[in-house]
Amino acid sequence: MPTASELRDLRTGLRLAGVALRERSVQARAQAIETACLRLLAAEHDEGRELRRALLRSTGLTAPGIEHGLQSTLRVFTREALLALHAEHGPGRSPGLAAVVLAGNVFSAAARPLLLPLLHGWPVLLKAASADDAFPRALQRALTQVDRELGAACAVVTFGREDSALRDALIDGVELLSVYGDDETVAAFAAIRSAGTRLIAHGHGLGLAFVAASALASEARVQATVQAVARDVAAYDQRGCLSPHAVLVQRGAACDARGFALRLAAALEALTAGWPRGGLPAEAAAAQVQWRGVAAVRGELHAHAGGAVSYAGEAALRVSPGYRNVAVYECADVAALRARIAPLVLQLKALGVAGDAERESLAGCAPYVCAAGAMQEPPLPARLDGVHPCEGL
Amino acid sequence: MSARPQQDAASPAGVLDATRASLVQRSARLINALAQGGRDDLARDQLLREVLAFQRTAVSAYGRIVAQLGETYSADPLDWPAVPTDVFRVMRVAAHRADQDVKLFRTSGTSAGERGEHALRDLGLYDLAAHAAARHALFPDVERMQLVLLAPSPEELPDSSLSYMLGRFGAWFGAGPSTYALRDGALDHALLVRTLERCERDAAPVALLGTSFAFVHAEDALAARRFALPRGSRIMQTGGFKGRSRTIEPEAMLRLLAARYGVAPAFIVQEYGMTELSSQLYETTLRDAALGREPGPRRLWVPGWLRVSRVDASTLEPVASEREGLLRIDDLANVDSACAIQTSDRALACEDGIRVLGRAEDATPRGCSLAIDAALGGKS
Repeated sequence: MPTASELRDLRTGLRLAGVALRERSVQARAQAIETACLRLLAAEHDEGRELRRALLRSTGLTAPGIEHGLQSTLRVFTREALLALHAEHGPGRSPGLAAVVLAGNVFSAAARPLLLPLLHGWPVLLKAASADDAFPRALQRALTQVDRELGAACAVVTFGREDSALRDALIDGVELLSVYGDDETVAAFAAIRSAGTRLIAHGHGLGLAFVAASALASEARVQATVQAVARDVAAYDQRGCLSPHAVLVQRGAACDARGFALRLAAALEALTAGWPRGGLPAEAAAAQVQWRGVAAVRGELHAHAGGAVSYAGEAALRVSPGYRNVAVYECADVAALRARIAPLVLQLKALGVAGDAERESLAGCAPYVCAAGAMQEPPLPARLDGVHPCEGL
Repeated sequence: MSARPQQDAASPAGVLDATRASLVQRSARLINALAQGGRDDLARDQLLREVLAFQRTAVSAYGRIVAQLGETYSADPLDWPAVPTDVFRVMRVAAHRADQDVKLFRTSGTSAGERGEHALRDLGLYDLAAHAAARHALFPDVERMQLVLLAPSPEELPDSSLSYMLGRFGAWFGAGPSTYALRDGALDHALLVRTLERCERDAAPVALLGTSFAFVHAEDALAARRFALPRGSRIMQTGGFKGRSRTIEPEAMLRLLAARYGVAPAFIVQEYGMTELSSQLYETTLRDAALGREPGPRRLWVPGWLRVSRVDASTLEPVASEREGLLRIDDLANVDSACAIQTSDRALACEDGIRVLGRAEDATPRGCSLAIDAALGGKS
């Protein structure tokens, strides 16, 4: 854990490193980022192997879950995609120092706030969750090995959230501050930031999935849709802000919501063989007990070792405890869906939609509207919090 | 208003009513028999089996729990799953009709406004269990004493089980009218000081009973004022802080209370109760000290009419004796609702009792889960 004085020195060093960083062309920066990501993607490389070992210790996810997270996150950072994003965003602000405060729920959340400022010539000081800093540290090391200037322009630190002196030292005078976490965390940083610090808040939220009748029009489509939704639920063991907590199934399809719940439970159980759920923390397990009890009395519950699916008709939506516990509800149509999610305007981060036409018509209902099966695999340009990924840069 | 027709004793409802009456009577007998601290676990378990079987039929929420969560369990009702406390927030858990309620206790609620409801058809078993446990653990050495309550009165909060219980304490154990020092949600600081000073002056032992957060508010309000309450005085605190005051660790709280009121630590006990239960558990130190016994480790005494177990949160199977688990309580005084209650409290076995380690708060990484709950909330 650094001292406040060390953090201030680190900030000064990063600003200096930013000068050298900006002497690299954007093409060189994009290439270095792609190469660093590829090194971590390769399980046979030392860095990739070590990262996977560290993530197994720190994340609570199983190896297939970690592999999914790495692949779906890092493979989008291609030189081509990075340059396209850079061009689309334009020259942006005059570069300064970016500070990032991460939450600990999804290990790969560090990628965007660490790599995109570097792309734009901004050095980055990133505070990771104390128990889950393996991924950003591995990224920083991989960058250093690929391009010393890029590696020198970012640093990863950890310290307790209650340490106000370090919190102050982390963000004092930075030009951009990205905060991931609960409302309380975001508010705490908003209150102490300097007047010149631009704050990008990434508050917690949740995802929902909608299955249109058109996506259940044939047995083949039912199977594909069930598999896609199961993947969304399984990814990161449903701990991410993009994870679906509930699935709303349109009425009138050959496979109704009750049947969909059964099929989804079977798909999740089958998925467990190759992609098992990770460890269940005591708190989550306790929440699971309560959630399943309520699910059992409100409708039907299909539970197995790797998760549970409830069917609750048209009952009020409830937040699930995650960890592959998901509720299925009936929904008359797109209009009814809009009405049901209206109260969630501030919290809904992702809407996975099975059904092409319906997905188009629902664009704008959530910051990230995507196909079912892609909820935890956003492309680089996705506006995950309703803002451009390079917002503030 | 037209009267309901008499129940035909041979009809299914009539049979259930007769079963219920018999179970209530036998539970009352057992509570009375074990009120002095005795145990008869065989008799308790046999009666519990019958109550669970009755509730599976008569309480639709419990029937659904057993049907959907208990399919892999044995035929022994004691192995059937318990009702998670959240179920009381979304569905009526009762063997009787709403128009037969004589009391509806409500939990303090979530941000979504969902409050758990415990419907009681009569208060006989509740009173019996509450009286027996408190007499045994809180007032084993004295018939009556002055009661000062840091909790709302039953008139102010008629749906609070704690206020109801403390109100009954006034009748059962109080010397004169109880003093309620918490009114309209605020501490009546002057009344508290005046009452405690009078107890000091008169050398009249006092029982100071209330919620943990109210004690914290008193701690803040009393500032440098300290008391030396007469020997025999005692303190009972209950509940958590629930965001209503700063949180203080139990050991620190014990030290604060002892120093503030001049009460020996052994005479400061925690009560463990919840709206969904009709019985309470108390720490053992007060009884041990009052009766001149060597106190063992601080732990909750489990009355003989309760069956307390710890279950694995993933499997709901009982955990080994040395392991931590989620607390499940089967309460024979809960004949009209659900006697098997699954809490979210982590607990350890401790000699002949249990030690509650705290609530397994929902730590799923959804920092705005409360806000989301508020947006989504609603009873089905």
